[in-house]
Amino acid sequence: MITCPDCQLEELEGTLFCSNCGAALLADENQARTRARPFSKPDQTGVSPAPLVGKRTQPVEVARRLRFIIPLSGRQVVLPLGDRLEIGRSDPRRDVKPDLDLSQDGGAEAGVSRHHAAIVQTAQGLAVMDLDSVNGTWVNKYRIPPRLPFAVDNGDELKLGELVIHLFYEG
Amino acid sequence: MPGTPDYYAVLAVPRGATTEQITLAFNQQVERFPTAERDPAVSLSFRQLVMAYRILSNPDSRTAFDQAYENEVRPGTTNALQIQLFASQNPLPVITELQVLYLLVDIGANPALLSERPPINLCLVIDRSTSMAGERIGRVKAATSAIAERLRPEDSIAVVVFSDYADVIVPSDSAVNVNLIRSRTSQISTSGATEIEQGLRLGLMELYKTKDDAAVNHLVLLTDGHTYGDEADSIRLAQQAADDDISISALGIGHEWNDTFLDELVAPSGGTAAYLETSEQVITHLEQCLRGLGRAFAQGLQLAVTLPARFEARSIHKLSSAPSPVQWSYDAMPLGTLQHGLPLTVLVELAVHPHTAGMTARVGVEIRANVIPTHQKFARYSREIELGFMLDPPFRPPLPAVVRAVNKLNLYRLNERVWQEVEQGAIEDAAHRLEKLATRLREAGQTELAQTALREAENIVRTGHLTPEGRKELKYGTRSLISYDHVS
Repeated sequence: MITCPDCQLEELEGTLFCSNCGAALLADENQARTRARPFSKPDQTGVSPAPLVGKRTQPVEVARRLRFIIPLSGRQVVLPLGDRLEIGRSDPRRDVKPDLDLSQDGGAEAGVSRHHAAIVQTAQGLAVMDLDSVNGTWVNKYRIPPRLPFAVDNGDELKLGELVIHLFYEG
Repeated sequence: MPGTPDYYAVLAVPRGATTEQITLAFNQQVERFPTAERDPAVSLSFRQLVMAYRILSNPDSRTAFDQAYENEVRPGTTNALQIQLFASQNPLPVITELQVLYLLVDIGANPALLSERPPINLCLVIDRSTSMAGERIGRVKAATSAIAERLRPEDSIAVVVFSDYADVIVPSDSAVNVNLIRSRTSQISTSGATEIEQGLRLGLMELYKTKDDAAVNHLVLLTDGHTYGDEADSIRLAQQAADDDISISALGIGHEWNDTFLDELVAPSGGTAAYLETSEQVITHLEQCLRGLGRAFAQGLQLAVTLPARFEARSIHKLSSAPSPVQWSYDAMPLGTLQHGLPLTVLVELAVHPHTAGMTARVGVEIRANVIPTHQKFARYSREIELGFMLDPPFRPPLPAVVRAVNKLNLYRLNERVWQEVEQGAIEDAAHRLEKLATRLREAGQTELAQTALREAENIVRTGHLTPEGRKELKYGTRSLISYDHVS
């Protein structure tokens, strides 16, 4: 059985949407069981993953570029990965211009902040950091606290407010 | 080329897909593979995907593949209907409990058989009850003349008006005469109540007079009111008409008409019921209806699904061109008319009982249809999909087309449950569900519909029922979300 994350109704395996509240059930339990991703499922002991802290040394290079896929708009963006890659919504009036601008993907409606999150290189690998956004950032269904780097991996799902984006490494 | 997979199915694109669509589909499919499997040397299915893209993206190899494939499927002939099947998951996991599988059936007309517009045998059945007085009847009169102007000499048109009793004001067996139609319709006066069965019966009689197997035979009902006591008789008439290959569509003007009844009336022939908020929309809807009739490719479509043991049908919904639930039957389920360039999508929801690893099961669909360009009666087309069972299959997100279809069904169902709850007096449940619906509509980018849902949620709590216009706005608004979308 699958449990609906929104209303806790039990549905048969394979069901794609909750019959009670309409919430999407795919890529949840199913995904966690077959694809062990760092945060795709809360730890067995109920302890949330720890942020990556410690001395910053030379970053480990995992990829030179990142491909972002935004399912809602169907858009794909490939961006070079520097020290820091900012994600948010552009606002010409305030001269905000993030590296990954989600304003054309329904970002405003989905509650993406202007400075929402950043992808940063750390000694332990690639990480995402929430920039005190209004509506929060999730990594594979786990909401991360602001201003702390959390590990991300190739293929991970990020949720900014209500907007889902997928991240892939490119050579 | 025995053993060669259908590369269109591998990429999940229709046979008429453009090169851009194929590239897009290829990229989407690649994303479904875990990185470790994105290597033709590692994964057979990835190898097939790359092969499919290589062959279909090159016009020369694509043409060669199309020809070889057609010859294999139907030696010597070209299929008039193109059927594709997509499963939400394949292989399925081996589990000890019941699981759900969605099957998307995409039925399209073969573009190679594009033909002349078939002759149209049309009858307009117009409500002239008191409530139609003023602007409504005025608009309907103007629309009738406008439609008549668009007909061709080989077509025929009849006009029937009804209130408590019905009259033929333009008989079907006269040649299309715009001046006659204009002068006759201009004399329509409004009075009396709405008795739909009367108008329907007379309208169908007119259509039978000029009925032609090579033509599209269609009745359009225009009404703004409730009919009383003759619902069952009307539906029987519609059933009979459907059996005789006459399709019926209904245009409800304003919000005082009975949507459940009109839905039932158009269901047997697979027609559509539309909600017209104002009478200004009559003309555009009639024109749209006429265009649709002109694109008719096959009529009297029927679907039969063959399920293996341990599979059960949970529900079947037609998602386009007009979304509606289909009553499950082992024999033949009516799907109505198929148009050129507008594939028909059917979503079958199956319950699958436990299987063991390594088992396979075949689900088959058969479509029977009267194909207009080839004059084939009860032509049969079939397609099969083989499903495998595996312990812990690698995770693949389901095809976007399947997810999209299931999500639209999901919205439609939430809507339907609200009406049920309102009718059963479960006001709190209904209000709560409307709020959920608003969230889902907003997620789908339907801000306006979401606001209507929220407004109705408040209204239910206050008054205990939905407003008639809110109900229709939501019902037909959600439907239009579902319709005119297909695998592409």
